[in-house]
Amino acid sequence: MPARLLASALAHLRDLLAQQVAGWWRATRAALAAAWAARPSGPRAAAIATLAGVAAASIAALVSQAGLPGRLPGPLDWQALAALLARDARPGDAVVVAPPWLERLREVAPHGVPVLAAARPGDEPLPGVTRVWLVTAPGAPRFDWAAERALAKRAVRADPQRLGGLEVVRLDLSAPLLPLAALADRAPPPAAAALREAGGLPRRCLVLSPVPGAPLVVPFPATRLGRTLGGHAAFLPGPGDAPVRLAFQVGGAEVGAVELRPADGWLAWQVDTSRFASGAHAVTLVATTAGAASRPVCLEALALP
Amino acid sequence: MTWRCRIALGWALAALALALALSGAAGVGREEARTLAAGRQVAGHLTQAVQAPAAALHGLAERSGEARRPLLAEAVHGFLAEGGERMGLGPLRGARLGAALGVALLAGLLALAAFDLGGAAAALLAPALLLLSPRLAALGVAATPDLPAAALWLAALGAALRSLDAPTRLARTRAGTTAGILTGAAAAVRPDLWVLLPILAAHWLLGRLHLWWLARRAPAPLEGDAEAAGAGAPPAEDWAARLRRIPTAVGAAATLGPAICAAAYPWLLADPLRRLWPALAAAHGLGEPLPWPPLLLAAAALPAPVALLLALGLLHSGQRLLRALREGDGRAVRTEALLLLAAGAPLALAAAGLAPRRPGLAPVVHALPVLALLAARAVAALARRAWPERRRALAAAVGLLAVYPGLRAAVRTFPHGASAWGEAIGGAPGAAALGWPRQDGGDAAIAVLPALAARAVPGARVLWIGVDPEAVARYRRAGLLRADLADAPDAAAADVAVVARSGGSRDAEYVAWDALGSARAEAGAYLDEVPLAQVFARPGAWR
Repeated sequence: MPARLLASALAHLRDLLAQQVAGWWRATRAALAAAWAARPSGPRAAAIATLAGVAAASIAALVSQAGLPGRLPGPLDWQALAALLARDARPGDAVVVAPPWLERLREVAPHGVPVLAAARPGDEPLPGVTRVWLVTAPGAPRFDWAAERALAKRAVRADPQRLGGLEVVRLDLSAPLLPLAALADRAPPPAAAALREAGGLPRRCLVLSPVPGAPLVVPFPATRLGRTLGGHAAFLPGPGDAPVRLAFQVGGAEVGAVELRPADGWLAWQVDTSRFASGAHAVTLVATTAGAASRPVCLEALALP
Repeated sequence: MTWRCRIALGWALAALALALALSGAAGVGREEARTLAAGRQVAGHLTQAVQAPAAALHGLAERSGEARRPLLAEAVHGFLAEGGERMGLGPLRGARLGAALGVALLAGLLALAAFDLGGAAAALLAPALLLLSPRLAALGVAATPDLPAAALWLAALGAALRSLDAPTRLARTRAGTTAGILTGAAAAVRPDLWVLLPILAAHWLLGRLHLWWLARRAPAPLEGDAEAAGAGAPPAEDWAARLRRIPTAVGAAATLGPAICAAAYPWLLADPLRRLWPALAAAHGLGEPLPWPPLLLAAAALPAPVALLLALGLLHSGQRLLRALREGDGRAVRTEALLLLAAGAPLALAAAGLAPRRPGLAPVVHALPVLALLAARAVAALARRAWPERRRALAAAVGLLAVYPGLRAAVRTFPHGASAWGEAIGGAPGAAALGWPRQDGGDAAIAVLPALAARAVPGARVLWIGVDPEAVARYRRAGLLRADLADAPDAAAADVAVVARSGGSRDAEYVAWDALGSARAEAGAYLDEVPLAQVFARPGAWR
């Protein structure tokens, strides 16, 4: 008996629920139909949507503007970085900044520690550098990790340190390029070493101004040589587009030469000097140009082990 | 006074007051420095023209030959700068009196034109869309030919439109003549604006085409038409007569325009046939490198909602043109076609690399008032369509929402508005990441002057890299630069180097580091961490 009563109550309840749901469904359909019937016309709907789009774009612009300072390093972050570098940087270190435009770093980097603001720091040979402090601003617009990935392939990476909007990671280069000698630092007058823009970066190089018909001869007495003499060369701004030939002589005999043309950009070159890998030798650079006029040349020449 | 005049006057006075108030703090860019330097010389020549006209004319021809441009803007800025200084406005604010008057004129004209086109809401919104953004606010305080040229472009356009629709023949002739004179004046201020003449001619030819099409569609006259006409019916349209008619604006622009431009361009006037092509090439930057696409840069330099609204205005005008063509509404067709040509031609020229090689928004600045006009009208029309009962409130709300990001950015970036970029590319950091130019020509250096005054050792010699000597002279006269600091002729003689970054070669900066023996920045001016100017000093030269 109680079971029958319970079944009857359940059936009644089910019917009530079904009626209720059907009622809701009918009401919803009626409301939707009424809303559809009262919908704005096509042009009005388009106007509403366009104005809503403008409003949305404005709000997005405001959010973007308001959020930008928080994504960038602040004064405290720079002070923390200055303290960190002052404490831990040592000779043979360099600071690489990514993105490269973040050159406020030049205000906080310690004296004597070079700052490299290159678009592709992974491609730079970094002569004389054993450790790199990579300073990044991961929140900056259009930031990517390419610099860190490229440098990490050549180095042992320490744990990164977060300084607010900045991230600092020390990279110990696995095979640092330690030149035996840099010809630019040994150049006798009138050839001169200078810091010039080549390949989009400041480079300490030997500035040569060859004159057509008169070879420019620059001697480097008692220069310690290794297996190779190598580096880069590029034309500096100026009139003229004649190519320049740079010949390297050791003990009076030519061991190699580079032909530099204006279209070459920051041209990498290498001359085999393995025959002279022990002791100091007299190295001579002969720069010649055949054209009517040639631009000055920025030559980076390193004796490499 | 009508509401139309009240709104226009209100905008003009507000723009004048704001420009004068802000002009003492903004830096002097390369173009402004050139204009001011040339303006002083031109004003000097014109002053002596009464006593020695031949020498004055010779000097003016030399100046215009060196600059390869007409000298009207320089003359106006030169005289007003002198007047402004004598009025006690100071060397910086006084030099920018012409700029303040130019921006006031533009704001007033824009409000008038917007009222005629879209009512009070459009008149209130159009100048705000144009001027309340960082780049245009920066242009508004700089004594360059750009905003006065844009004002003349807009005024010539308005006169040309009146010459088409004025009720009487006399009014049409008067308006057409005014359009011709204003076209010449615009070209005398910025020579690349001569393209208004072919725009007016193209508009006329398109109009002829439309008339010819309408004439073909018109029903042929019937036998009884003559009697019907005699009975009081409207006379049949004389299509042939209408097709023969040449608007006064085109004729005046073709005759008075070149004459006015040539009068302001003595170098061209001396040998017009041989010098016309070099003058045109210089006006359009032919033969000069085009490092970045100017149209893309202009779109990216504006606040995103403003850029969106300008594009919307252009689309809305196109839609109105199509509808008018479909409905045979000749007046609307004429108006929309001219507005579209005046807004679109500068953009098309910039896209084709035929705009002057100038930084920032300058290559397309004359299109922007027309675009702002169309945008404001589009907002008013959309609000009317979306919610007719609350159209004013809706237009005001959307307008304020669209203008506010630009206004906020203008306030936040001041005085570095010329270095600001839109949100779509990530602001100044996003543009720096793309390698785009950071400023229009050394104007950000003004922000490092307080540090230089406080920290440079007495008598230090300063090397200015990327900063025009005229700008340095203005800062010195304005007392912003310590009197004992001298200019260094080269890096070797310098104790301190001030480097304004523009995005080009940095060789001079590296030479200065080498000579100073330091690559450590001692001070700087930054916008969202992007360096705009930095100071380097020889050890011991910075306290």
